[in-house]
Amino acid sequence: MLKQLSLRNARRQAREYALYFITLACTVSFLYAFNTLLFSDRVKSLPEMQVLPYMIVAASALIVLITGRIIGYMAGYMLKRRSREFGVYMLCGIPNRDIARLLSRETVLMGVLAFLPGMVLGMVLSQLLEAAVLPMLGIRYRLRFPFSLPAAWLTLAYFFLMLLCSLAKNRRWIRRVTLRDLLLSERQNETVLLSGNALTAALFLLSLCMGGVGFWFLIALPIGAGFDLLVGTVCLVLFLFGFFGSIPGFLARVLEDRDAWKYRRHRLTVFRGFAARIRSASAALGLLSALFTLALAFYGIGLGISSVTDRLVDMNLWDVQILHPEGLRDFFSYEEVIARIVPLKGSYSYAVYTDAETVFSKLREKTAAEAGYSGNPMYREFFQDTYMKQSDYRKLRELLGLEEVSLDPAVCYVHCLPALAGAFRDFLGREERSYAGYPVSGQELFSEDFSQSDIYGNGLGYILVVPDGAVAQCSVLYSMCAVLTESPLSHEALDEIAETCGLIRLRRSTVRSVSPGSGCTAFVAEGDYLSGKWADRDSASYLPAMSICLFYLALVLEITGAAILATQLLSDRAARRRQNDLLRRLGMEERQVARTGRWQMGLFFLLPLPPAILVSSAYVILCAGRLERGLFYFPGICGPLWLPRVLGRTLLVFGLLFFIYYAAARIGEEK
Amino acid sequence: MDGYHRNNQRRACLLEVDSVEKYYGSPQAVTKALDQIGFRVQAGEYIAVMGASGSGKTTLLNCISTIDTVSSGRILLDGRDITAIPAADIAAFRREALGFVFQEFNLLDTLTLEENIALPLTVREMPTTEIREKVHVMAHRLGLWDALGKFPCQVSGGQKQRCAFARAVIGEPKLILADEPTGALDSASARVLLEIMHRFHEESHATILMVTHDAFSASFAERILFLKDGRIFNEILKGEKERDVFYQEILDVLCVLGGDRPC
Repeated sequence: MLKQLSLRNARRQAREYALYFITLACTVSFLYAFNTLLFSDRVKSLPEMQVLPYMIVAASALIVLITGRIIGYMAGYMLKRRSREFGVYMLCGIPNRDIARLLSRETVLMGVLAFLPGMVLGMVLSQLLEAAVLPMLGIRYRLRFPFSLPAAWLTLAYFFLMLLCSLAKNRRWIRRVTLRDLLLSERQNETVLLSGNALTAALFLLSLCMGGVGFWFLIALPIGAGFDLLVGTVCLVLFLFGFFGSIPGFLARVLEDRDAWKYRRHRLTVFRGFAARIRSASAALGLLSALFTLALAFYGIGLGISSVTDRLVDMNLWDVQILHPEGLRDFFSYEEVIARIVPLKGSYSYAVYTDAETVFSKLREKTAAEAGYSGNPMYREFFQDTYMKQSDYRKLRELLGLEEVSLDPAVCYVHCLPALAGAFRDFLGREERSYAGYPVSGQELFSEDFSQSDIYGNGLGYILVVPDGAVAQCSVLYSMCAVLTESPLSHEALDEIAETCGLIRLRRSTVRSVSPGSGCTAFVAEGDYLSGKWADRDSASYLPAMSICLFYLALVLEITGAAILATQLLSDRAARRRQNDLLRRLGMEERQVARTGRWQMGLFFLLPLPPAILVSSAYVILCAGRLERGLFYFPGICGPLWLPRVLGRTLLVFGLLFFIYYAAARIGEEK
Repeated sequence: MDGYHRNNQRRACLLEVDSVEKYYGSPQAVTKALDQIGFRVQAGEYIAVMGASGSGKTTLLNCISTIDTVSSGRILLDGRDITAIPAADIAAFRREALGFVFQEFNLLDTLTLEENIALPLTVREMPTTEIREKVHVMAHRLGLWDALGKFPCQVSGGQKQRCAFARAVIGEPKLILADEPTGALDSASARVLLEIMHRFHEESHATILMVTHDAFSASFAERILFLKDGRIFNEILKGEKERDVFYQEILDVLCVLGGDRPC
């Protein structure tokens, strides 16, 4: 009989908490989809992606931990709502042990109900994920049968762990609970006080101040040495706890003190109902807000990484770039090989020169340092000024499709990053500079994208374009073959080019010290180096891997939080219907009754968001800002509004998914 | 001619229930909840409707309160046929004409007693100062002054029901409908409430229609309609009788209604 009861209860609960089960199924599908990446041969073949499996396992472990706790909380919440039902079982003489067994069966059945569709969804999602991720890593996507047995086993293990976490706690509760507790549980809830006092109002205001201070610490970093992060985080945690602990009391206080406000525009039921609802769920709302904070922060940091990575690659204008250190070289044989592998749009070989002058390199470093950037961290090639011949410059502009310019053959020009243009113009306006007897123009200065934001491009941050004859007194820093191709280069194509030509991949983060105090170089061995847009993307693929994992975490955290919010709200449907019936009997217009319900629902749904947005944006600004400063030597590479854009896109991505849950809750409410 | 009838002659008819029938169920299994019910209630009258479970009391109350529709017949309130009120005007009609008292109080747990009483006035969007004044006067009148700032979970059942009564009458409705108002109260609280309702009726000439199956509660009314199987089975008047005499008379009718004695 108990077996049948378990089956019927599981079916009924699946219907009642449909949104929750859909979320469980989605969690399974995400776990499976990302697990397939772990076992994907194509991903395994990328040496740069060795870190991805570890990242996914770490993210999955975090998800199991967090989601397990949340499922436990949610299952406990659903159990407590069924207290009277369990009380009746006890009254009928069913021992606690058997009720606990019944509960276990129900949980397993509900788990199966969520797991099976979750796996099917996961197979579809894994293909979508591969279609999105593989091109990002330079691998061509091909549709294939999406089932991976090891990924399925791993997903099952994760899911089993999650259910085990939730079951253990709730079985313990049901084994210890007494009949009296179960039957009187509803009455116990009625003792929740709904009044506010001056203390709660003060606490609420204090929590807002804490939020502001925490935000300021993370943005302005006034102390330094990591203490800002510590103090800011402590303040923001206090803000979250204080906010949700005090806002019901604060709202009640506002309502009690302001008759004129509360009695107008049907606010009374909306705000009293809202204050009572959040009072009974303030701890849960705090938890949800923390979840949304994490989700928003992960989305934001992920988008920040993605945005910075895209810019990092886009700043390199050449599809293929072959570098020959210290001297001129004929690159014709390389061009032939590349042309066999991928159709060429154009190519040009030239040299970047240097001498002992450091005037402009010092100005570059000073300008960057004033904006909080490094300018040139350590590369010895860029300690001195860099030069390019006017004839090369003209050809390169033509190849890149830049506007044709008329250059005076007796004048030197500066081509620099937009972030340096002001400082260079001011400097040249103040001081007349010349090189090899040729004056440097202070009026005409070029600042289009020209592969200057990173090392081993057309200078670092700037280059002096000098008359061809002026380079006679310089030495060649490196010569370079710049190639534009008709189509993007895959990871395999780059490997083939490197292998056929015997090229070394240029890795900017792998450096060799020249001599103590003389900086270092990325030319770590004898030979020619392969670089360029697609090679850079390839070697920076650990960044997309990070952002994939962050998105994975954020998605699961958001859907879990939103599902809890929606389920909590829908479980109070009966009370809201009673309220609405009463309002109808008192003569409230149907439209107004519906509006009241929508207000209460909307407020409850949106309440965890403002603190989450505030706290997460502080972390996004901090982390994405740090990342940008770490990857770029100059300000403004990502554009002046890149951080607000990242925050806006974060809110958009988060808002879309959140709105789906809100809409689902609305539909459930009106059913 | 007794005092009640003399009084009735002076009072206009407020509610007229005319040949009302109400059917439930599907065409294969029809249940007749109300069968050709007809009666009149004068303005300022206090009337009780009694009957066993399933006799049609609550259906009748629901039809009068526009919560349910009739299958045939008419219900006129102050000359207006409420069975023909368009859906768009129902809310305004309930707001202006009806006050409800329920067995389970139906107070909103999240509002204080003061706010619960004020609720119908906020629905009417009355000015705040007027709301406050009316609520305070009513609270004094019903002995709720000390409990105004409390929530329903903090007061006794009697206070809750007095609050529900205050909410029903604060908008000065034409007709107050009470559905088993003492059903969830202990005897002392029930008596206090009934006396308050009686006094309110006397002082304000409010028209009250109370559904109950408690003879003691019904003995506070001026007239009682007894329903059986959806029809009016009997009607008795209090007239100049003492309440305990009237109470005995009610019990006698109930005995007949229950089948102990011939009608």
